[in-house]
Amino acid sequence: MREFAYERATDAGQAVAAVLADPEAVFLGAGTNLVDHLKLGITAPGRLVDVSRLPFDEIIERPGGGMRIGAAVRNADLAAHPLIRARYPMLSAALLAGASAQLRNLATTGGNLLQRTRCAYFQDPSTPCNKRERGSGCSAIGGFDRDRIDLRIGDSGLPAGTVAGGSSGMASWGSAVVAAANGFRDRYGSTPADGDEITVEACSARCDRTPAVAPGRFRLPRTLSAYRLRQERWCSVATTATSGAPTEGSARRVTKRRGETRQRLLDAAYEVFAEVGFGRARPEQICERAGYTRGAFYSQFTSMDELFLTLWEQWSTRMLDDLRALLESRVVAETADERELVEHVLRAVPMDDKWFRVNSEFTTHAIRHPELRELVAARERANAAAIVPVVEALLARVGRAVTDREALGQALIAVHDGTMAQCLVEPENPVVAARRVDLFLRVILSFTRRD
Amino acid sequence: MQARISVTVDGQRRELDVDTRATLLDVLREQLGVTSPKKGCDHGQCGSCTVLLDGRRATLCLALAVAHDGARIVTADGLADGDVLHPVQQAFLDHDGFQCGYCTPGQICSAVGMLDEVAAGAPSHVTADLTAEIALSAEEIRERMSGNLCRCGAYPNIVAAIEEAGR
Repeated sequence: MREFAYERATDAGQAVAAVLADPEAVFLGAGTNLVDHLKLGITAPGRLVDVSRLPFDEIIERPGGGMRIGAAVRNADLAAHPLIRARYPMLSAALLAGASAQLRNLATTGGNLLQRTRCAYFQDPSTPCNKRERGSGCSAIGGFDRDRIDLRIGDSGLPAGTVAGGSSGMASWGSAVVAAANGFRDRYGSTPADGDEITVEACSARCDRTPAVAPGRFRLPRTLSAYRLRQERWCSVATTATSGAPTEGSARRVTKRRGETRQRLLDAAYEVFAEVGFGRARPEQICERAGYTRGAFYSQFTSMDELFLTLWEQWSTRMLDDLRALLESRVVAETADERELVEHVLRAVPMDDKWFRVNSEFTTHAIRHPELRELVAARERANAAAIVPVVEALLARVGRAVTDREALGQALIAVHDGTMAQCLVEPENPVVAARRVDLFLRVILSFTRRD
Repeated sequence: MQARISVTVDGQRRELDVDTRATLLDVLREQLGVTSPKKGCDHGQCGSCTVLLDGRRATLCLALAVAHDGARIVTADGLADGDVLHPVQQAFLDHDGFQCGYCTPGQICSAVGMLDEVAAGAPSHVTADLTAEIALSAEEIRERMSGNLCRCGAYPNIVAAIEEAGR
């Protein structure tokens, strides 16, 4: 365990200042969560600011209704408080369903709400976990999930979204809410404003020890700064900070099985995009085709945009490799005159209908998203760079020298793309196919001279 | 990093320097030679390090010593009044509430704390009516003692011992 400094806060303001002043500082309540994580090597702070003795151990009835619960109130005391038992039995029941009596005697309300996710994978550093190591993946999806619970969290005006997290923690619904709150923090990089509220609209628990919690609306007390939640899934939220761009420096560990899941999703997405188009494709369709539940999608990709980019990069690389192999093959190399050469090559280059649809749509998508344009342009240049030397060598055999390599590359791609669209629109029309050969030949003749 | 703390263990005040990373459990066992609280899981799950910490049952393995400066700790060792055993200790003997004995100090401290909680009217997870008076049934005992594991499986006798001590 790493060495850390310890200080006991004398008032709340000083505690907050101490933690803000040191990026390696964390608050210490009873430590029932934190000390465990220190031992497990999940976290390694440089300073602990003990807030457990601050005078926030009261449960007060508020004049306008409701209760004010101090952050330092112990779980056992909160669960046993007569007014909480009488008026908020769900809170008592939830507390009593978690941990053990010994831990409930120590654990604080503030610490309970702010504890890290209770997921077993989070607490096992030998497994990938987005919460622990951003971008490493979520082992719970497709793994053991017996002790996880799902909460439906709504934000004013937004439809409820499912947030997975927590487990049979001390207050399982509370910890799941906080799991979501942590997701918010990870996503937006800031602590939400004090006094914002979380509305839990419904709760379904899958843990055996958790009492049946009736769906309903519960508003969290403003004990600490509660968090406003967006309709986000924390696992996907935690994966990357910005859509499509993996967090810098995140070492992505992909196990064999996770790699297979990813590839099956990509393959399914390719089919779905080719069939209905990127704009109409939904993650559910892709997962269904791949034979997974929706969760698999978000364990692998943060968004459809990210999936599309990955898919396009994979396929365009594959197409480029195929083309390079084809042009270098002996069959092509043994041709004698220009027209025969063009016919030969065009017969060999596949008219891949699906790839055409996916690629065209991605190009359109990239034109709409300036940050993607450079990727497409770079791929076009790579395509040209692969084609031109081979074409140049082939043309030399039939006695022609290239006058402008770059222009020839761009022209060949333009002719290929353009005439391919025409051929796919009229696949039965032999004239269109013949003109394709003819146009290629004319372009080649235009950018070369007889040696 | 070191810090100076003082704790009262089984009536004896002790002052010592501790590593900020040390738990009360390790300090008691390794520095003060108090071996009644046992180290089982060291993650707050087995209950074998249960003592009465400032009057309430608590596991020591997740409690940083430095944060408990001034604490009053009563271990199973300190429950007896001279040669007269604590009623819970006597009941464990009478009912053969243990086999290997490793979990027993924790079980006994936990039972003592638990009976106080019941007397104070604290509900448990199996209390049907959260606002009614608590009846100490075997079911209640099992739930309230669920934070203490016994790998020998001496539970039936542990429950019997606590039932008697609770009368």
